[in-house]
Amino acid sequence: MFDTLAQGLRRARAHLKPRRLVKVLAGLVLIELLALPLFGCDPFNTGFEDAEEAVLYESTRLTRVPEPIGQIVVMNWNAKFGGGRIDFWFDCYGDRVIMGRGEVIENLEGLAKKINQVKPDILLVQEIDTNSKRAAYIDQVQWLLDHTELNYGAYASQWKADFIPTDGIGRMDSGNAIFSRWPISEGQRIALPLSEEQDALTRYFYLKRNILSVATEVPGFGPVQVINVHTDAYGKDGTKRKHIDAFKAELDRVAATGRLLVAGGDLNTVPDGTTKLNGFDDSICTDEDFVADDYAPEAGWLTPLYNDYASAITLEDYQADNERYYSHTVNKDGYWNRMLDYLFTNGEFVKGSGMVHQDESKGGMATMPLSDHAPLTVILKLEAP
Amino acid sequence: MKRSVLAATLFAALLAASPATAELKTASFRADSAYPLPEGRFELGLFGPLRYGLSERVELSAYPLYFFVIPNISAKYALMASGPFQVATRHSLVYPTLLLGLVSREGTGGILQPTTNAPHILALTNEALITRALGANHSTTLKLGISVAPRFGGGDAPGTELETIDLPLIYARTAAYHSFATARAGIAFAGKIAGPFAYTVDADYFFMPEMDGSFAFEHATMLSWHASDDFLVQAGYTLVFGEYPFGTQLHVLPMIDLKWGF
Repeated sequence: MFDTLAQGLRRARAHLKPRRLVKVLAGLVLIELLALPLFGCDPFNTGFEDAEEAVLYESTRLTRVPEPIGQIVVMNWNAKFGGGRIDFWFDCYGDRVIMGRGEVIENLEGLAKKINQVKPDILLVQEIDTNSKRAAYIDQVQWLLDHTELNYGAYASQWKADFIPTDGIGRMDSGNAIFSRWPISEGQRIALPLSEEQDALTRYFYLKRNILSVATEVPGFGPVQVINVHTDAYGKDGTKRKHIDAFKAELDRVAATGRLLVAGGDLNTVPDGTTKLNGFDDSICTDEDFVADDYAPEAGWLTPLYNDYASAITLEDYQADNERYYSHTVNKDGYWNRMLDYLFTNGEFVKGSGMVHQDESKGGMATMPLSDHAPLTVILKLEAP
Repeated sequence: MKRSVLAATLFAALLAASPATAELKTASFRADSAYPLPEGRFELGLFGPLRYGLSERVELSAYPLYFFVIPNISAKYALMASGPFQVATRHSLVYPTLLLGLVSREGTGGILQPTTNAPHILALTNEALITRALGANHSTTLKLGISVAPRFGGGDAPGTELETIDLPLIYARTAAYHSFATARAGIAFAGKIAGPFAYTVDADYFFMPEMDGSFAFEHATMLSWHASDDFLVQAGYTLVFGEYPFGTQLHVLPMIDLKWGF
């Protein structure tokens, strides 16, 4: 056997003469080039166009809705992909990555219970998964439509990959959604600028954020434009500022058409007049990739939005009592300690109707166990701007 | 699956009815056939296994590069030859637990979540291979196999269970780690085209009961350039259409390999 091995090795070496090796390598390169179209330039399907149609949904059982009388309820919520208060790795409170189906359903039931308590006419959601390993591949947009009185939905992915070979994340499809009692049309996913501080490989698999914009046909009134965004959280290169500016530009574009709009989302920054800008005791990450909470350099970033649009929580109210409107904390055992979630309109909100549903006393139900964000609601007057 | 079993039964009946008894054949660079390697011959692929013809009936193979992280051994045994037919069985044993532990990690390369507590798994695959010569230069091989993977220990708390790896080629080959058994049936054609060029075309169907993704169909076409009797370059594609826990998906993957014989 060993004689044969030695003899074989000698013969193999004879085949690897330089000229032959060059020919072989040239052949390999040629074959690889020919095979490239089969594999494509985006083998894990992570990319998006600058503008794409949103994915539209419909509840499997439509709920009859009476015609609204002059006003509608709008709700915004970062749903944390149905993760509830499981301690995930990126929060630095735990090490979980993947949820079981039972866990996801239980968390979704909590979200649906709150939504059914509020009964919004329009709901904006950030961080909702439609086909992710971490959320047991449950299409949460369809699930919420089928378990609430909302009838129609639109979805725009912001993190999509057939497989992410990091931390066991696996397949991912997570993004923003808009729900409405009424039919949705003109759904569009507008790509936001990508971070420039990441290397190419990280950027390839990383989040690609977007603005989701749709029109919903409100009976007796007409189309209302709904715009949803979830801006960058962790970047230090000004990407978040670009996202906020792009969001404002989209609002301006729609407002110029004269259509009533309501827009919001998780802007990942705090309003002007925030007294606590850093040093949050719930932020325990030391990995700078996940440190997101020094808002001092971001002062004034939201000023143009507040100047040109009505906010669900007015600056006056907020500045009089910051804590009442805090909507986020990483620590489930703590309390909300910063406001990151917003709703704006070019029309008019019912005065004093804006509320951050922080707990039973402010919203009638505990929300801390449901997500790392508290929902925000407001009543929008159905009047032309 | 039923059709594959029926075809195999017919093939076996034909074999039994064949009046002539032939000598066992061996062949180089024909892993997916009932022909073992010639006695004393080694073959090594850049991505493929190291194979060794232990005798005229027995061929051993293993993936040496990965052996220390995924101990594996496979044996092909040529049972009989009759007329243009030859029958062999192939048996492989793999212990993937070390590799599963290595890919359960934080950061890049983390195929499984870091908290995974992989069980001890002994994956055993048994296959029947029936090859029929088609003239002097071509052959076809029917393949039937079953995989079982007894498991011991491992995590059962949330976050520690062994998750499926939902990737083409891998999912079907690791499905047995999560179920009672998986089965596989396939057919392969191989032969010369002209001069130093040859081909292999095969199709395999994986049946994975108890799994959320319960089937996979794989088809591969490879063209080979035999630079000599002892060296070849292979290139082609593998098409995978399979059901995964998230639904069905089609992949077309470029494949390339270099093989040496000695």
